[in-house]
Amino acid sequence: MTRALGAFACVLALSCASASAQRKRADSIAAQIQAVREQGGETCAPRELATAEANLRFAQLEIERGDARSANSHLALAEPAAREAASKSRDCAKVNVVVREKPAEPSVPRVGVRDTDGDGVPDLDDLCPDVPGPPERRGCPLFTDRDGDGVSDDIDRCPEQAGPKENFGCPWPDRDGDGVADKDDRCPDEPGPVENHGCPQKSVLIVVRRDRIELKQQIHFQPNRAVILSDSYDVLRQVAQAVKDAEGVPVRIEGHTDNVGKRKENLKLSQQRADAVKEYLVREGVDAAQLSAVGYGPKRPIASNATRAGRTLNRRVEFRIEERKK
Amino acid sequence: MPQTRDTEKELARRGTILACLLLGCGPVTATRVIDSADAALVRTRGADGDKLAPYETTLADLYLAKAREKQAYAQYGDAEILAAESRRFADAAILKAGQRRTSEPAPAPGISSMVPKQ
Repeated sequence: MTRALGAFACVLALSCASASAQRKRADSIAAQIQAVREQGGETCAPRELATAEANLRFAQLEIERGDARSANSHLALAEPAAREAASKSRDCAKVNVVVREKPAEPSVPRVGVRDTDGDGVPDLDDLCPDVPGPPERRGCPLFTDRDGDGVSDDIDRCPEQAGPKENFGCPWPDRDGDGVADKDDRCPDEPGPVENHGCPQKSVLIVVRRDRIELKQQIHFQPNRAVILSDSYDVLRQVAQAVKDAEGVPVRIEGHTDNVGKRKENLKLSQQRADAVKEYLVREGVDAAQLSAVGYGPKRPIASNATRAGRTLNRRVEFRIEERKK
Repeated sequence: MPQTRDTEKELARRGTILACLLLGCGPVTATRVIDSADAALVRTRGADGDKLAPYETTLADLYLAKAREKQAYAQYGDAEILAAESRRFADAAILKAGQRRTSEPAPAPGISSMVPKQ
């Protein structure tokens, strides 16, 4: 009886030792299989790996069941399969690590596309090439003010011209172009300085008195001739306007000279000059019937003919307002 | 008396059926799972699994063989588990083979006509 128990104990001990060794062997194979899997064994040696894995699993199952003989046979199948799988995977891995050199991409000549504002939208497509803006707005910023008048382009009726916001970004109109806006220009159709509210400064060269038209600037003629110089045209235009304003009022044009020269010739020259003035006024639109021209020569001096200044004053044209004829 | 004998016979018959059912539960289930795995493996081979999914096909094959072995040793529980594993691998092989077949370029049309006729 004791012998039988001893034999049973020996068998049990041997069996336990055998199972432990088989587990170690199985663990070793499992580690090998894991290494093979990491090397891509599933692709490189699929059948060998599958055989090793399956037999390892079966061996573990048999070890748990206590069937050492069957476990051994499965381990014996798993071990060479794992080795073969490892061998194939190594070769396969070597092939896998070969990296082909990427052929250099052919250099494509880049067309020179300018992008002045650097917003990524080429100048060709950029509506605002100098101001950066997103591509969805074709390179323009969200709020632009091209004319810089403080009114953004989205509400500016004149985005290219600076203007106050009161006029929706447009400049005030200025018909005569004198720099004074029509709204402030008292003479919107005649250019004039700002000081005169946009109206031309008309120098008053005549003063209409009760009996005469007084000239502040004398009428000038060519020497010894009855040809009016152009610097006297403004005075004569004002005289013409005054005569026209006094419609029906007769005006006598008087020509006077100094006493230098022959009296007869001076008389004739004064008459010719008076006639020349009358002719000019008629050309300016004055009714000829309203005018009369008389040459007095040196007969009616207003200053001394002894001096040069006096003689200059005596060479003159006067306009006398006559009483209306009844 | 004959009535009592009939009753005993009936009881014996029912007991036999019950015993058969109880004893046959394991083999029947295992056999059903093994048959299912076997059918799946046949489908896998039909789908060219040996070539297109060798890893999964080999596993399915080996697991099914082991399941049959366990069934032969009347270890129906293990047999059922292994057969189920086999079925799982077979299904995976079919799926993988199908995916690889669709990703591979189709053979050039008329390639068979290039074989010279004898």
